Amino acid sequence: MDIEKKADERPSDTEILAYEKTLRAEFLAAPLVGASTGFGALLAEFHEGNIFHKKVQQLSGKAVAFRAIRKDGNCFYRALCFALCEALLNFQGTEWAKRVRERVLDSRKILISAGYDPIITDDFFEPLGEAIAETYSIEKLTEAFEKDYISDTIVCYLRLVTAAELKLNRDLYEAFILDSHPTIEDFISHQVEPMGIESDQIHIVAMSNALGVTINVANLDGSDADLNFHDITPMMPLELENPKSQPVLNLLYRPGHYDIVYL
Amino acid sequence: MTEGSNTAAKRLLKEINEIHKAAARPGGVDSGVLHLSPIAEDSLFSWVAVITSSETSGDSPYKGGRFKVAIEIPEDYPVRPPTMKFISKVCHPNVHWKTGEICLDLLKSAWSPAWTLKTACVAISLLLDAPEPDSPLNCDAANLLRCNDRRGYDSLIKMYTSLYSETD
Repeated sequence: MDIEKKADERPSDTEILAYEKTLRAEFLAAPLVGASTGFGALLAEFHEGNIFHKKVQQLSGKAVAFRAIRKDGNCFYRALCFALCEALLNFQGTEWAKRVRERVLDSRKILISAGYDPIITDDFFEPLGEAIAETYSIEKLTEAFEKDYISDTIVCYLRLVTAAELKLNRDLYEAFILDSHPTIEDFISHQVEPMGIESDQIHIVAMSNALGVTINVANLDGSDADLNFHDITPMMPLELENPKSQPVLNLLYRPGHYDIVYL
Repeated sequence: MTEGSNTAAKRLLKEINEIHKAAARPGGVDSGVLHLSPIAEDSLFSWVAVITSSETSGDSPYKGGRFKVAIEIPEDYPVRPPTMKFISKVCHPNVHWKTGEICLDLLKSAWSPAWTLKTACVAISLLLDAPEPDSPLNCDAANLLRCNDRRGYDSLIKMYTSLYSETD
């Protein structure tokens, strides 16, 4: 940045954003969706004896693998969607996969009910529509999620689905929002729709309800207790003959970030 | 062209189409956006808009003003926002007097790909009559509002509007 500027010439917003970007460059150099690995690299991020270190050790005893997601504020949606598409491939041909695909396809109608213009939003649906196709493979999935514009378009679409879910079922969510935002619309335009804005519990609940999937979050917080898990089940579950046998999407939460774990 | 910019081009063509369709509908033209199009046939990524106050009743000090906005669209639009700034001189608490930079969160941190160039222009026209004096780019204009000098503010804005408004 040009520090020679006169006192009355503040840096422009563009310059401020560019500067922020340089600060975040280290995080932005990481892949959008990393390879499936063990817990060694994650463990190395924390000092031995640290509570996080202890909890990662506990987690590695229960989980089989870890997949890092880029720390760019979009990690929850990216992690969830990758985990979902991967589960669809692993559970190919099951009733669960069929019902989840129906829900995802129906989400386009839900967006219209919530007031979004399909002329604009259908473009955002396309890459997700391809990623959930039965003909997809794990190689194609990894490749697609590594391309910025595909991966980000999917994130954008899921943000709109979350927003639509909040708008259409506002009675469910308002109580959790109105102490920090005047209206649910204000919350949506500041905390849901914009890219790069981090997600919270309420976003996870909304996604689970909208897609009908169970999300299990391994909670790696700084509390002294043992590693705990938050199981978030949809209020409107999928219509399944055998609901007990459906897959669960496992995420790992650390303050400000989500990754994927495999249990 | 990268694949990403193809996505942007496709979206922009759709937006042009929608603007034409709206113009053909009675009442389809938004009162605050008088014009919105690419600057030339072969420049899909540079647009110009003409914006006015969207207050049809009431006594906006911007009434009758026509202000040009330059719009530059990045290759990864609509994931990233367009850059929009006034090229006409606009006296407004949230518009930089020299550069025309607009302080509106939706053009920066609150941008969502669900916005379009049209809805962004509408938001700018609404900003004209709903200034936020607490995050000013033009302190002189903002200070009048902060001192509750509405008459002084209105007459200052009216003067600059009549001086710098674009002609048809």
